[in-house]
This record gives sequence, structure tokens and C-alpha cells, in this order.
Amino acid sequence: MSKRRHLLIAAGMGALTTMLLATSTAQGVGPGPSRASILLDADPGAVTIAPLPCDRRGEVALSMTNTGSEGEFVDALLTASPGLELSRELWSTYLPPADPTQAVSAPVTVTAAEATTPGEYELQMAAAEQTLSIPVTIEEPPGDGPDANLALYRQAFASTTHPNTTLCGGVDGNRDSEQWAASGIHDRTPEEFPDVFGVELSDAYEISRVEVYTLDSATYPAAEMGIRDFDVEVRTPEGWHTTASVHDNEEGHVSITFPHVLADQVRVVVHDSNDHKYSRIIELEVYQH
Amino acid sequence: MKSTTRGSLSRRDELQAATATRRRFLTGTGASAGLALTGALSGLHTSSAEARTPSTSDNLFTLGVASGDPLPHAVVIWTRLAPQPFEPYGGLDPVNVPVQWQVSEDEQFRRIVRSGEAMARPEYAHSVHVDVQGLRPWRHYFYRFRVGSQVSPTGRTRTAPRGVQRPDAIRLAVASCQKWDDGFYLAHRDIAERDHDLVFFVGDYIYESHIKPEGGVRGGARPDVVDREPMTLDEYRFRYTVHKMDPDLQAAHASAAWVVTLDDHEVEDNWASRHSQKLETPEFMVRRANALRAYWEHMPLRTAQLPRGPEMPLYRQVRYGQLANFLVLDTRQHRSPIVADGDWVAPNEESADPGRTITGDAQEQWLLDRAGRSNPVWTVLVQQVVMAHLDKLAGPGELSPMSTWDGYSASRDRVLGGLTDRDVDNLVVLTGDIHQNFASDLKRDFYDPDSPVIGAEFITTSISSKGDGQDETQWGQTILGECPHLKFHNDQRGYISCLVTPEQWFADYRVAERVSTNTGTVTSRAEFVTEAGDPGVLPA
Repeated sequence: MSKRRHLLIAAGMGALTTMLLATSTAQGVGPGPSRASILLDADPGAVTIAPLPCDRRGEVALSMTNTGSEGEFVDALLTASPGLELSRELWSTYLPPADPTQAVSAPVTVTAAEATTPGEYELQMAAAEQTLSIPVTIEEPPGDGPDANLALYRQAFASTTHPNTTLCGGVDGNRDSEQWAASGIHDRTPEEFPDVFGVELSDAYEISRVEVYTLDSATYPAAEMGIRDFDVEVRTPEGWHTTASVHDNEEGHVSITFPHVLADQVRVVVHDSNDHKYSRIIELEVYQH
Repeated sequence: MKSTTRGSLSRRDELQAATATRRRFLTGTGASAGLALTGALSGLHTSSAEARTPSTSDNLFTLGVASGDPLPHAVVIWTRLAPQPFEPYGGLDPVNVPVQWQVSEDEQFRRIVRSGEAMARPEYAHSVHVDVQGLRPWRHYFYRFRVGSQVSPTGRTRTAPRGVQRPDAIRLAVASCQKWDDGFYLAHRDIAERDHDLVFFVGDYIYESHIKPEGGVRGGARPDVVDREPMTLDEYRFRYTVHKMDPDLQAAHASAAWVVTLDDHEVEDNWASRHSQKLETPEFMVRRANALRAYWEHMPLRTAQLPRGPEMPLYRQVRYGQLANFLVLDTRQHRSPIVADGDWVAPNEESADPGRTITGDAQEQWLLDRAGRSNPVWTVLVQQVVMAHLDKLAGPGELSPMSTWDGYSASRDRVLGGLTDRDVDNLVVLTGDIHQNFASDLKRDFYDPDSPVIGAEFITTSISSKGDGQDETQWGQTILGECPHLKFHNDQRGYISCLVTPEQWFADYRVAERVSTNTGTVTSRAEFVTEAGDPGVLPA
């Protein structure tokens, strides 16, 4: 393991990562190549994720800062160890001159295929003749014990997903409505219902409880913005089965319990929301008990 | 109202005859002749010295070819290599790729008059902008590119007339606003099938906003890489890729020389110089630099228009001898901040502030100087947003758009007054942006009924933005009722096909029956003229 990587791991435990500074030949915007100093950075500087499709803890804000006096266009090539997948492989951007210095950032999300063996991996950003390594630790997938949330990080599905939200936001383990934009999901068909959001479990389980969290923050209370009329359905060997139909809901959290049933998928079918536009779900959880 | 029926019919006949010729070109297949590999063009520098011909058998020319900004002896020819258009670097390795090009007098490339090699560079998305010199004025040429054994589609272009020459006629199209997921590009198909010397595209070539699920009316064809609203250069390039893969758009580019300028959606909705409605200025200027770079990469523009960071020298003059002087404007990069977020509000003290400008001082002075200096038959402002006054509030009071010249009324007064003071004859303004067809008189003072008519504005609807539309709307009727200088309104998709002669400017408003299907028809909805020496628009 390189010294740089040690530094990054140490920094990753804090709020800020260590920056790399090097002199580079980047693509100038004027005639002839110019030399500039480009700082590479990533926040967080290290990530830990489970090898599951909707584990979004691997989102990293990459950044580059031009400390030179000329603006530059720079390509950042992103690569990752085998077994990891990246949301982008190339980030090209303008970096304004240092007047004052301005960090320019772009997001990348690293995920791991389900067969990926737990261990140490890395994400690399190569730009301006430098390479920044971001350690990626693959941990064991969450267990499926009696009290485990079987939906956590599992493959989500939706009738539609608004681009301001992410499909996985409803199974990412984050119920905090104050972080709604980053950790929730809603559809992209305003005033059109029904909308569907669901999750594929890793196997068929005897489940008896589903927890539904809809948007409920100080700014956006559930009584105004949450889902109002919806069904909770489970997929049994015989097909989809409705376990509960909720009407006129104005709460941010609705707990649904029912006799144990063998199911491999769970979905929420929304027939109306309190603003009658979007179906906003902050988290969907599934339990055996 | 004067009668122009006879003249107009003959113009129609000319257009129809030319269309038949156009179709022969489009359906013909150019025989492959030997390539003369001489010369090296392109003033672009690169940090990569390695050059390599890709070994892929995948089509390199997925985004078609284009030509633009014709001069009497030169024209820009363009292509971009992208065998896997939605992969980084279009599926190529990030190395230079040598590209051979040819320009011929005939479609079979038997009379090749210019040829050479240009370098497609990864830092410019493997685009090629060759400024072909040494051509003869006012004549058609055919061009193509070759990489290894792959030969591009053939494009057709035409140089501008010499400065002293007065051509009998110019055929040109005016188009704007082609939101990809709102509709099929039937209008581009019609542009390609008719004979145009020039196509003016006056903005909103791409849209930065979200693409509808499943590609909107196009259904199921939306690649994941365009899901996010573009901020970075690679993301803007993907937006151009989505639009430029359309076969009708490619056909329109291949059929004639294009002269382009941009509006807001090439960057961000309702941006104004350094001001964004979404981002702080430092962040926005990075976005603007990325957007303008991608725009240049995908348009047939000269290196003179290559942006330096977030600044793009875009406004320019395109002269067509003694017949027309086209002043291509940029009403985005230099405008004052937009009032009321661009909404329709009552014109007010702020919107009328004499300190406000839609062109910037330098461009305003440039356009008045250039318009005053030359004296062709037609002086033409090719620009983005409606110049004529609009009011959509029935009865007393007004509601006017603040993102058009109405939001910069002092700027409009200075430009129209300056042109009048310079005795500019036969002023024509070509406009897009508003997704509606209008034909309008331009008045020295829109609020004074006795103010003279000093020009004509032909406002084109969108190619696709806003979807199918309808012939007439209450909204349009209200505006026509409130604005007597407006002579026509229509709410369908299409473009304007013009025949410009020394005597008359003939504008054919071509509209698509529907753009929600790929099989609709495009027909003439209305025809208007402005006669040389008699400013204003009249039904043909």
C-alpha cells in the first residue's frame, strides 16, 4: 500500500481528505500548452459499502482545483478495481483560473456487484498527470436475521423515478426527511397515479411487517406532501397480494403488520398523495418480525 | 393592402422546382473516388502527440456531417468521430485520429478541388472543423471525410457570393428549439428535402432540462447518461449526441450550410451573462464554460468562435454580396440580468431602465456600425428572442415577456433607432425562442400608433419543442388583438423557408401536422412577404 493511500485512509476518517498537488500539462484554452497546478480531491476520502445494488454509501464528491493563472479544460479518468462499478468513467470540466481558487466538483458513485468478495479495493481518479486513489472497503452484506431490515440496500424498482431523486433512495437506510433530496425517491409523473415503488428481497422470506416512511419534514410535512392513499403489496408464490390499504394518511411513518407470508418482493402502490402530484417515499423497510 | 399574388406564385414554383433537385441529391449515392491526401488544417493545439487510426469496424460517423459559416472563398466542414456515442470519448481511445477530407464540385467526387488531413483530437471530443479555403464564390460543393477505410456520408454546401455580386435569390431556412423528447424532427426532414442555400438555427439546439421518461414521444430510446441535467463537459457532449443522432437533423445539416447562434437552453434556462437562476456565479461560469465548449465542438464553426473558458466570441457578420448582410447576434452572453425571472409582467421602470442591454455595449456598437457601413438590399438581424412588443393581457394594462427585447426596451430603442438614424433600408429580423409562429411589423416606437414601420420580423416556431400544438389558440388571438403590428400567429411546430430576392423577401411558414409521430406531413401554413423599399409584412 502506498504512502499516499495511507494518508488518504487516515484523512478519510476525518472530514477532509489530503489533497494532491502536482504540476501538470493540461489542455489549455489558448494557443499552446500551458502549465498549471491542479489539485485533486475527494470527499469522503474513503468509503465502505456492501456488495448490494442500492448501497449508496459509495457516493463520492470528486473535485479539482486550478491554482494556475490560466483557465484549463481537464479530463479526469475514473477507474475502479474489478468487481466495482462506477456511475461515470470520465469527468471533463473547465477549471477557472485561481482568482481566487475555486474547487470544481462532480459526483461519482461506486457500487459493488453482489458476488464481490469483501475486502479492500480502490477507486482511482487520473487527471493532469496525477492519480488520486480512494480506498473502497467492501463489507459483508447485512444479515437476514429475524430483526434485520430485509430491504436495506436491495434492488429497488419504481414505475418512474424523478431525476432529482434516486431509485435507491427509498432503501438506503436513511429515514431522515431533512435529507429528502439526497435520500428519498419520488416519481416523475406529476398528478398521475398510481405510482409504484418496491424492492426485491435477496430470497423469499416469511415476512410480517412493512414500515413505510413518506416525506415528513418541518418544511414539507406529510399532511401536505406525503403519500395519502396507498396499498402495501407482497409478491407470494401465487402472485401479488395486498396486505394493507391505507386511506387519508397524513403521517410520516406508517407501520403495517400482517400474518406471516412467504414473499420475495414488496411494493407500495400509491393512489394519491396529499399534494396530489408526486409520490414521495423516504424509506421502505421489510421485516420478518 | 397591396396584392403580391403573382410574385408569390412564381416564388412558390421556384421553390418546388428546387425541391425536386434536392431530393435527387439526398437519394443519390456518391461513388467513392480515390482520395488525394494533401495539406493539413486545423489550428487547434493538443497535449497529445500520438495519432492513431482506430481499428474499430463500428461506424465512426454516427453524428453525421455538417457545413457552416460560408464565405465567398471558404466554408467550414464538420464531423465528429463517435463509434460508441454514449461511451467516454465516443468509444475511441483518447488519442488523435487523422481524418482525411475532400471537397468536390460534383457529388461523385470526380472533380475534387480541395482535400487534406485534419486531426480529430480527444480534447475536442474528436470533432473536426476544417476551414476549407480557396473555393469559388456562390457555388455548390460536396464534401466528405475518411478515416481508414470508413467514408462519411456526403454533405452538400454552398459558398457565399462575392462582395460585389448580387445573386438573383437566396433560399434560406430559419429554425430553432428542437427539444428531442418533445417530438420528431419532421421540420428538419422538410428542410433537407427542399433546396436551401443557408439554414439559420437561432438557438435551443439542445435542452439541458430533464429528458422525459422513455424518451418522451420517441419512446424507450433514452440512454442513462443523459438522465442527469448536464453540468460537466462530458454531460453536455452526451446531450448533443442524443440530438445529433437523429437522422432528420443529420440530413438537414448535410443538405446546406448552417449559420448558428445559441440561446439559453444550450447552457441553462434563462441565463443572462454571468447570472443563473439556479447557481451562484462562480459555479455557473464553470457550467457555462463546459456548455459553450460542447456547443462549439458540435457546430460547424470556425476556430475564431472557439470559447476561451466561459467567453465565446459568437456574434459575427455573414455577407451575401450585395443582396443581404446577415448580422448574427448573441443576446445571451452580454445581456443585463433578466427581470422577474423572465415571466410575463407589466413593463416597468426596471425593464425600461436605459442602463439595461440585451446585446452588451460592444455588440450594440458593432451591429450599428456594420449595418450602417454596408448597403446591401437587405440588412438582417439573425437572433434569438422576439424583438417586437408583445402583450398577452386583453384590455387595459399589459403583460409582456421579460426575457425578450420587451425586457430590454431601452436596448430595443437604441438598436431600432440607431438603424433608422443610419438609413438602413429593408430591415429584416429573424427570430426563434417562443415556440410560436408570428409575422410582425417592426415599428420605431411600438407604443405610438403613428410611429413608422421600419422593418419586418419573421418569428419561427419550434422544430419540436412543446409537442404537436394546434393551428390557433386563444392566447395567440389575444396577442394579435393587443398588438396590431402582429399579422399572424400559429401554434404548430415547423420552421420558416424563405426566398430572398432583390425585390422581395418571401417567407413560407412550414408546419408539421404532428410531431408526436414520425410519419406526419409538413405543409405551408402561411406565406408572408416584405417588399424591398416598403417595410413591414404582408400576406403573400
